[in-house]
Amino acid sequence: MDDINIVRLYWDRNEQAITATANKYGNYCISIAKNILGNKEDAEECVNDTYLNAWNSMPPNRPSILSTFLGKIVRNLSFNRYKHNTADKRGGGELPVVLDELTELVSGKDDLEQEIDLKELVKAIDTFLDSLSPEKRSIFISRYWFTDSISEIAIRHGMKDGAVSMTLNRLRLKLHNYLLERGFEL
Amino acid sequence: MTNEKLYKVLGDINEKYVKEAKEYRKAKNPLWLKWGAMAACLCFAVFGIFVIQRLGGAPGTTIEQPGNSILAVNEVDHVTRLDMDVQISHYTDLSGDEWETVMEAFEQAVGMSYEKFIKKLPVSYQQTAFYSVDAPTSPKSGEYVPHDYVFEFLTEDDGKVKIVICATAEPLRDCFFVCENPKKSEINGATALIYNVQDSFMVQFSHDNVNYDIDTCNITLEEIENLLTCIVS
Repeated sequence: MDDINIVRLYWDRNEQAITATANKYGNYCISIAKNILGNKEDAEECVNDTYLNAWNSMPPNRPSILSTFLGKIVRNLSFNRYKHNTADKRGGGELPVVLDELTELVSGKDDLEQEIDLKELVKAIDTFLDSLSPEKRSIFISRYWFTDSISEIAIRHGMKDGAVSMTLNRLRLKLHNYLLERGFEL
Repeated sequence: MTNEKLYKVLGDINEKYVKEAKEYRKAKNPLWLKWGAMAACLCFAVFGIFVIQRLGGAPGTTIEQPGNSILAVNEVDHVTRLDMDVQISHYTDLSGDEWETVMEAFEQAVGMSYEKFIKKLPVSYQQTAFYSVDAPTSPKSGEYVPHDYVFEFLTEDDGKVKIVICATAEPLRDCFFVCENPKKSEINGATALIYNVQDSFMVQFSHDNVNYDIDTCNITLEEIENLLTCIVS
């Protein structure tokens, strides 16, 4: 079933919407949740919550890219679950390493004085991504949006793990400098 | 800002880039990722779920004549994946005796020698791997025997070719392309099914009582024709 029809089912309050979503995007959502959480049970719960969340948010939302809309929900829910789990000292999947890498870009302080316009920051990151080649952009997004492991990215791009790590290092440094030049001191 | 906050902010990037990366993940995942991941784990058994994923776009068949043969390329819009209970045995760093045993088993299973098979392939191919995909002799037996022999190559232009051969049955497939009424191609008397998903071709055919599955990435249809001609000549 194509996305337009799935979204229409949500708007018609037809419960087939959930089945159609699970059939088409269940595996995709599970892979995102599992990357973040590292365990199947938590990932499945987050994916079920994603369907509920989608049900509650359509209407009023009518997403233009359903996969990304669902991906964003499952990413957020899994991230919240991850934080809850780490408070309970239960480990995550790939996320702790990804967060470690992102530490290089930020001060680590979250004080209110450091007012950053998040919308402007997202815009700047978008412009940065736009300047990259599709392959580099895909490597960056695989790691920092989909939370894919280095080896998964390496296999997908026909690269060695070390080469992917090196590419990501350079991209992080490049992004850091790019943001600094535009006045974003994170 | 904290790293967690930045991770959240990254979640809000333009959805078109996320979609683009998703397509990249999807396009590059078939076979290469699964087998690659399994090969990396050497002997690794997985039991999994059966997933059907529908990709966008309408299916269709195009007729092409890259060289001497007329090839029917079946565009695929369904990919069905299956995790299987298999083990991978790599044949590297073997002693002379061990290699001899593998070669005997290969010849017995396939009906031709390893050297004879390799000689059929284009000379420019650079071999990067040779291993077998081993299947259990019976469910939960814990004993695995070679089902398929797999060769991986890099081409001159950095394309990837994987040839899976099995004489007793069709090669095991962890990724099926579902395509209704696919059109067949004929190369030197052999009938082949050619499927295309983005920059990958998958070719299935039989020749001299051996079943072949060929998966490629970043190679042209002309190169496929050349490879098939080499094998069936």
